[in-house]
Amino acid sequence: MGTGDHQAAEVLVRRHQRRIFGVAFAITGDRRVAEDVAQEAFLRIWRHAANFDPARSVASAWMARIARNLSIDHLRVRRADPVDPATSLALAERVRVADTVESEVARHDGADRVRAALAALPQAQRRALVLASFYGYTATEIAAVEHLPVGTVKGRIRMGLQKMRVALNTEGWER
Amino acid sequence: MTPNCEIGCAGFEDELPLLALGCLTGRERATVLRHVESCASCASELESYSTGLDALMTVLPPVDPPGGLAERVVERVRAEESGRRAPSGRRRPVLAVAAVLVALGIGIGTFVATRGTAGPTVAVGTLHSVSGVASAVSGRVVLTSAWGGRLEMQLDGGPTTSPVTCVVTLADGRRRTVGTFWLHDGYGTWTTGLPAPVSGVRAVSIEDAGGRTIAATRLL
Repeated sequence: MGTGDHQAAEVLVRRHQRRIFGVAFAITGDRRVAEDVAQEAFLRIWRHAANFDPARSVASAWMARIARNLSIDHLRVRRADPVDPATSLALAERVRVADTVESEVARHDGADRVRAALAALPQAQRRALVLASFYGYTATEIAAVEHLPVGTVKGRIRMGLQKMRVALNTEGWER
Repeated sequence: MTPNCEIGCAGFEDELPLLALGCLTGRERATVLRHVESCASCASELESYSTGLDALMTVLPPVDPPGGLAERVVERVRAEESGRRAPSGRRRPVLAVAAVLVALGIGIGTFVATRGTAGPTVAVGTLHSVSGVASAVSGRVVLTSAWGGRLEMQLDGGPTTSPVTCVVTLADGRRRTVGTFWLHDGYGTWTTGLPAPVSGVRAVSIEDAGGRTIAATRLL
């Protein structure tokens, strides 16, 4: 790798660091951990950039997904120890707190529409969807936390995603 | 259901969103993926759910990271690049010894790579059931000196009703418990701190709740 490549890496990080760090911080809730995750995410992005297929995904979404998956890996470690169910359920509310945050994304039309669609879901569906999407909970884990049959949780996640798809279908769900 | 769909799609409708979200265990994931590969309709549905996840991620607000993130990433890129230029012949004797250990029936597939002086030391091992264990436990472990020393484990086929304990054996024979973990439907992943330098770890094993080793790998 030459000097020019290093400069390219630096440009890549500077351009996307707020987004990648934001994903990691929202999920892990810890700035130190989020920075570790963000560093690792950028390394993976850099390593695998040649394999990225623009026909299958938008680059920013692909990068956010890498940060999300690494953040969830970290959370799963923490969940290896017994966790008070109230703590797990509080996670699902954390994203809602962000609803009130005046931020770059809050002013962004696309994110606003997604947030509105998410907020319009019945609470039970939204909670299951948030726990699975942002915190990587399996249906079995959510079922244990919420004292519900696994099938009920799976149905809530599917219904939640489907309702969001209907709500956003004409406004950008499909690329 | 498409003409080439051999299994009913209805049985997978709740699983597709979970697959897109990465929330299925190893075996569930394999089952659903097999179906998706033979069903264009479900493949399309899966793609749509994946796009949905991308859309969901946009609600997470951008946040300013600590200063110097870009410099630290570039530093790690440089370190990684210098490690990639390390002599490639290093792994050969390791693999030869690993082959002998496999022949002994311990169940091993391992390498250790020192990625140059500036890069992290990484060791990768494949866990297999040890002799005498009925269940087919398998897994993969990565040890890295990065982040102050981390152990990343992925395990499948383990006990479903009791926890497992991860133990590392050091070069001097001492054993250190890394942690005790519950698996979900026999599957689990975890990342945790490493209680010794990567080069000082000789083996990683998984014990059941009764203290019996059910899977192991040697790191050479």
